[in-house]
Amino acid sequence: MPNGNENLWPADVGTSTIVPPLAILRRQAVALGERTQGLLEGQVETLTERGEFTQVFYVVAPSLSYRYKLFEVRHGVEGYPAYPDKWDRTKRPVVQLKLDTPEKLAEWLKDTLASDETKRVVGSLLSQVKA
Amino acid sequence: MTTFLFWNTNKKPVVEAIAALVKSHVVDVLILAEFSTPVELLERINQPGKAGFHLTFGLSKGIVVFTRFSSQFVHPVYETDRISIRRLTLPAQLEILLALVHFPSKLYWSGDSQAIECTELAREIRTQEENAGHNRTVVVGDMNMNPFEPGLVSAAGLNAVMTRDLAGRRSRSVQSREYPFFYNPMWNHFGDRHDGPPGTYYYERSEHVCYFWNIFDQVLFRPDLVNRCPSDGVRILTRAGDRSLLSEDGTPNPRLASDHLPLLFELDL
Repeated sequence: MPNGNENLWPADVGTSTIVPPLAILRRQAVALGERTQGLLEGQVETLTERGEFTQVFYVVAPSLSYRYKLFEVRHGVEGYPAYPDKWDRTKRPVVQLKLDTPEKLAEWLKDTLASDETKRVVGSLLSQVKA
Repeated sequence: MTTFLFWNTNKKPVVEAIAALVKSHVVDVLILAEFSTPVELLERINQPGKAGFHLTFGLSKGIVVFTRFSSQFVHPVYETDRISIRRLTLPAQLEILLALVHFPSKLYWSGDSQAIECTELAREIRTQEENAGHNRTVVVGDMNMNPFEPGLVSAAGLNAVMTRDLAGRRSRSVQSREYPFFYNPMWNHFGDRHDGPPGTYYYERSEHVCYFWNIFDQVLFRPDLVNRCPSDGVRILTRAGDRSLLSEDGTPNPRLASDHLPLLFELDL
């Protein structure tokens, strides 16, 4: 029976190897800077409300003092499932995606970063920075 | 005075109407939502050989801004697909922040979602005000909400009040948190006790709650700008030159122009 003086935490606490959404998004934020030779940067801001986390991903042009909100991903304290959210220009009701694993989030992220909308934003900003 | 005009054109071919509005009201800053022919408009409103309007840089798909002065004086600092916050820095005039908005329609977003989005907008405005070092912000656009809805009036939302006096208190405290006010002059435009139309958007449906006239298109001022807008400095327009924008029953005519009416306001900067 424990006497209260020893460490009661289990040995495997905090040893999860699941990559959290924030880490996945931060990696791509850094990668944008690498891809654009520092002309643009990614930025991830974490908001918390009622036990829910929202990771907001921005494209930033430091020389223009400008940032564009590209998308956001919501999740609970466990990290997964994660729910990406984007404004829908088509006006159709948005079907909420549910991403259960880091791999599914990474797959969604790859598609989003390669989308015409992301290319429009990054391309226009680069042109503006270089002008 | 600097004159601003906002219009949700509903993707209608209204270049001639815009040209008439710009000319008759000597507009300096033209802000359009749901407008897709900027080059055609520039060709129409700019006369050969004369300095004219400029299309400004911005990435929000739903909002375009034209200025009578160089576009370098309107610098975007934050944008999403439906929000564009810009610093307007005209020579020898006070710098202001312009927060331009086109929020999703009630057809696709609930009132709760719209309200939460207002808290996000309010938070970003406060961030940009801190960056700019002042609180001289104007919010203008199609909110797709009425001035009395939670997104507009709640403290954590845009905290927009109906009188200049209330706005003069500058802020209010809820649960020990301080929220800065906006003044919403659009409250003055409801009903038929004044010369203008009772709203900017008319919507009639056979259900129990129906306002008929709505004021979705709004302009809000921070307290520091309230006295820089004359008491008659905000108008809902019903004509573009010699052309009425209304149907015979007095509601916006979507066959002739947009289902929204344009909003004109002036600021002494």
